[in-house]
Order: sequence, then structure tokens, then C-alpha cells
Amino acid sequence: MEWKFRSDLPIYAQIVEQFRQSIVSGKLSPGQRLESVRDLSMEAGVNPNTMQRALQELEREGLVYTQRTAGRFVSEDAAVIERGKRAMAMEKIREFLSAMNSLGYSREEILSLLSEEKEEENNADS
Amino acid sequence: MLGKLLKHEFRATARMMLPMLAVLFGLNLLADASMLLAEHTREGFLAFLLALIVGLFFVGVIVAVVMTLVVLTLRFYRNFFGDEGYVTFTLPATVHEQLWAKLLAALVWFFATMLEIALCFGLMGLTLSLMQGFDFSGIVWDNLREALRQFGTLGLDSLFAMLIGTLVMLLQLYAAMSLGQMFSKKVLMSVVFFFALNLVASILGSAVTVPALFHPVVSPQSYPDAVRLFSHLIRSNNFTQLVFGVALYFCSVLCLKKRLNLA
Amino acid sequence: MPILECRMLTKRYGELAALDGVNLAVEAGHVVGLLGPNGSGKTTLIKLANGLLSPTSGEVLIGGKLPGPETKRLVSYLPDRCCLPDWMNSEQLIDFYSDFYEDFDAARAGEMLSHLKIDAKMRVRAMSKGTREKVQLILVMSRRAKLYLLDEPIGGVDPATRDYILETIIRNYDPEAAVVISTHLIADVEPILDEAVFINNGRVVLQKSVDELRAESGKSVDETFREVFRCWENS
Repeated sequence: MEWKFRSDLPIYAQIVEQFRQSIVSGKLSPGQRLESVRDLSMEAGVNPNTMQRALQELEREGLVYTQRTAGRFVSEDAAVIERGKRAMAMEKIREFLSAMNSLGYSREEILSLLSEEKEEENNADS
Repeated sequence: MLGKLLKHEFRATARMMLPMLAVLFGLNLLADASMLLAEHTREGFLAFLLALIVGLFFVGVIVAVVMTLVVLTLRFYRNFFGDEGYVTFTLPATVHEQLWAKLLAALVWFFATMLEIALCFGLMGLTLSLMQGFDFSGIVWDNLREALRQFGTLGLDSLFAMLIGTLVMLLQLYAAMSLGQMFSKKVLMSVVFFFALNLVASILGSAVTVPALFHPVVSPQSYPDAVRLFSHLIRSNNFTQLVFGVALYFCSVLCLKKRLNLA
Repeated sequence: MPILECRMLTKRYGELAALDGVNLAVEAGHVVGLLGPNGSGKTTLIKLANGLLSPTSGEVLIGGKLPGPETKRLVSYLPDRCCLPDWMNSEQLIDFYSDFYEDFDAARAGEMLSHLKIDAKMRVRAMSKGTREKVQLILVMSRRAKLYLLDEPIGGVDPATRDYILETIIRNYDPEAAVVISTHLIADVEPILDEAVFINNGRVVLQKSVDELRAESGKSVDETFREVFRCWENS
């Protein structure tokens, strides 16, 4: 995984975000085994406590689980992953809507712009 | 811990000392060979060259003594007060252990050098006695035996005096450096303190020895023979040296414990 | 018990206070950044913890004890300059450290040396500055100490070496040990820190977890540091 951190957010939060992204997009497949905390933190160049905290957060969300001696694995529960994906999507949508609102667009205008964009895409395809 | 410190102390100093001792011994062998050769040669120039080689050995003796002093002093200074000090003083050893490791190793090297020099002269004497049947060693040996019989415990006291003398000289060097490093001009102040301590040593020396000569207990009347007088003088000098040495030791310990100035 | 604790630690040189009433506690398993400009007292604090200096007042405790041979057994110190005897080679250095420190892992040191392709028979005096620094780091990090004191470990090294150093610190992480990194190059070191301690003019200005700092201010520790110290300069 490529690790790039921003300076304004706690690093553990950014790690959680990146893992979430990889899991819901399928980059990390369900049931895939994760490397050890030590290896992961070395790869990412971060403090092992930080990595541990991020992984614990992911466990809390159900995206990752620990099997005592075997290690940490990506969840195989499709429903949980789907829920996570949806939650991230909703977040993105909220961001989008808030950005559009600050530009001064109303709901209807946003919807018509969206269908315009869809039409252009269809024309480009055909 | 002291054992380990000693081991590494010897390792660090042996790289300089052993080659030096080897060279000195080599020079001696060359000188002895030259002397034997010179006996059989008529040629002036060759004889001159051979005499030069013998002279080289004597120069070598002086160099050896000076070099021993220099090597040991530099070792102390660099290992304690140079950058190496950061490693030395973070080792899990007490200041006492550190000092004793330096002292003992230095003593050993000093005596090794002195012993080798004595051995070399002995070899020379042997060589001389081989030449023209000149029983040099025999003469020396007889005199030595006579002297030993005459002077008895004086010999022991003298030996002890040598030991204490070397120890105090080392302690003086160490204390001077330990005091000097407290200041920003470390080397300069070390030299200053060395001479200051020398002064103290001589004042102490005469302050004890001179009254000792006139003290009723010591007056020539109570000492029927010169030997017992000398014995007493040497012993009282040993005692003052010992006390001075102890003071120097604790002076160094204090400087190293409380006022280490590494940066 | 904190691995490193300072209680009203003060060190004066005549009128000047290099450290002034410093209170600090570092727990096991933490990587703490001692962050401050040059002359702020970082090196003085580290030397006091090492027993290389004596406090004027207050105390510094390592594992609850005052500095001495017992605590030196527990502390692994990386000075800000090269202090290795120049006549020794890496093999001899490993032997030296193995002898004096029970917790020294000679195998690990050998591994790191060969990994960095450093010739074990090369004498220190023949090494380049970068190689010397690496060797010193390897020796320090090959100990299983309880407290690592690293004084400016990444100052003046090339970026590849810097990355290697930071990686080694992470790889070496031990939940029972504490690492204190003193530096003024905060941005590079920030990702591996748990806590940041800002120090200036011998006083601790701030002590917080890095996560908290970022969450509260929305800035990196480096940026917060610049702000805090800009104020100090102007005040």
C-alpha cells in the first residue's frame, strides 16, 4: 500500500481512512491476511502505537478481525463491507452537496447538472 | 566490571606499547651484535657505524620511557575527556572502577618497560662479559649480592618507593587532567595544574623530610648507621607520598563525578 | 513507574539556567519527541539522564533510580556526534559492547551491518561520516535497553540514511522500552512519535500526544511548533 499522510489530521485517522478505502474497493480482498503491526508500521513509517490504534478502530467497525494466533484478517462479511462502502459513499455525497451549496446551487439545479453530465458521458461512449 | 575495563584498557594500549617494546628489544639485540662485531673489526668506519647502532639503543631507551608516558597520558585524556568520553562514562561502571582500570594498566606498562630496560642492560652486560673474557656480569652480580646483604629491608623500602613513586606520578598526571578539563582551555589548564601539583608535591616533600632530619627521634644520634637513617627517610617519604596519592585520587574522583565537562 | 522522570530538574551554569524546573514523565512503550531550537536545553536534559552531568537542583530518575551504573545498564545513548574510538573496527566494537552490556544483541548488530554492506573489518578512521553514524546507530539500537536517548539522530544525514534510521527505530519498537528523540527537525520525525514535548530556554512549554495536537489544532506538530516558537521569539 502507498502511504501518504496529510499534516492536519491525526495520523491514525488517516490510516483508518486508507484501510477503509482499500477494503470497500476490494483492493484488500475479504479474508485477506494483514501483515503484523510492526511490518505495517514500518511500511507506513509510523509509530506502532498509532498503527495499532487504527487497526483497533477498524476492528470496532467490523471491517477487520483478529484471530488469536493467526493474525489479523479483512472481514469476510459482505454485508459489513457493503455497509462501510455505503457509509463512505454517503460521506462523499455530503461533501459534494456541501461544496455545491457553497457555490450557490439549489437541489434541483444540482440534479439537472447531474443528468447533463450523464448525457455527455453516454454521448462520449457511443 | 573492573576486569572488563582492564581487558579493554590493555587492548587499547597494547597496540602502541607492544610494538614499541619489540622495537626496543630489537635495537638492543642489534646493539649487542654490533658490540660483538666491533671487537673483531679493524676498520674505523665500520667501528664508527657499529658504535652508532649502540648509541641508537641508548636513544631508544629514552624514547621508550618518554613514549610510555605519552601513550598513557594521551590514552587517559582521549578516553575520558575526548569524544570517546561519551561512550566511556555511559558504561555501567563506577568512577572508581574507571580510574583504577587506567591506573593499574598504566602501572603494568610502566613496570614492563622498566623491566625490559633492565633486561636489555643485563643483556648488554652479558655481551660485554662475552667480549675478551671481561667478566662484567660477574662483577655486577657480586656487587649486587653484597649490596642486598648490606641494605636488607632498605631494598624492600626502595622497591616500595618505586611503586608508590610511579603511582603518585600517574595520579598527579590524572588529577592534573581531571582538574584541567573543567575549564574551556582544557589542555592548557591541565598543564598548569600539573606544574601546580608538582609544586605542592615538592613543598610537601621538603616540609616532611627537612623537619624529619632534625626531629629528635630522627637525629643522627638515634640512628647508629646510615642505612637505618635512610630506611627511615624512605619510609616517611613513602608515607607522605601515599597520603598525597590518596588526596590526588579523590581529587580526580570528585572532578569526574561532579564536574565532567564533555561538550 | 515512568521509565524516565524529571522532577523540578534544574541545571545552572552561573547565572544561566540551561534547564529550569523541568517536570517530565516518559512511560514505557512511548516514543517521545524532545522538540526545541538549538540551545533550548534538550542536550542538557539528555546528559543529565545519562549521568554525564549533575543537576543543580531537582532530580532525574531512570526506572525510579538516580543516574549511576545501575541506570546506565538500562539506557542506550546515541550522542549527537561520533564518539567511537577511531582505531577500532565494527567487529571489535561489537565485541566491546557485548562485553559491557548484557542486553546487547551481537547477532542483530552483525545483521544490520551486513544489510548496510558495511565491512566489519574496516576501522572507524577509514569510514566516511555517514558510515560512522550508521555504525553508531546500529550499536545503540542493537541493545534491548529500557530507555533509548537519541540526540539529533537525523541531523545532517542524507534522506536515505534518515529513512533507514526512522525505520530502524520503528522496527526496534519494544512496548517495555521508551524512546526519547531530541531534534529540531520535527516534520521528519513526527510520524513516529507518540508524544511531543516542546522545550525552550530550559523550560517545558508543552507536553501532549501527537494525535491530540493534530486533532485540536488541525495542523501538524511541525506547524504548531513553528507557531509556538514564533510567539516566543516575538515576546
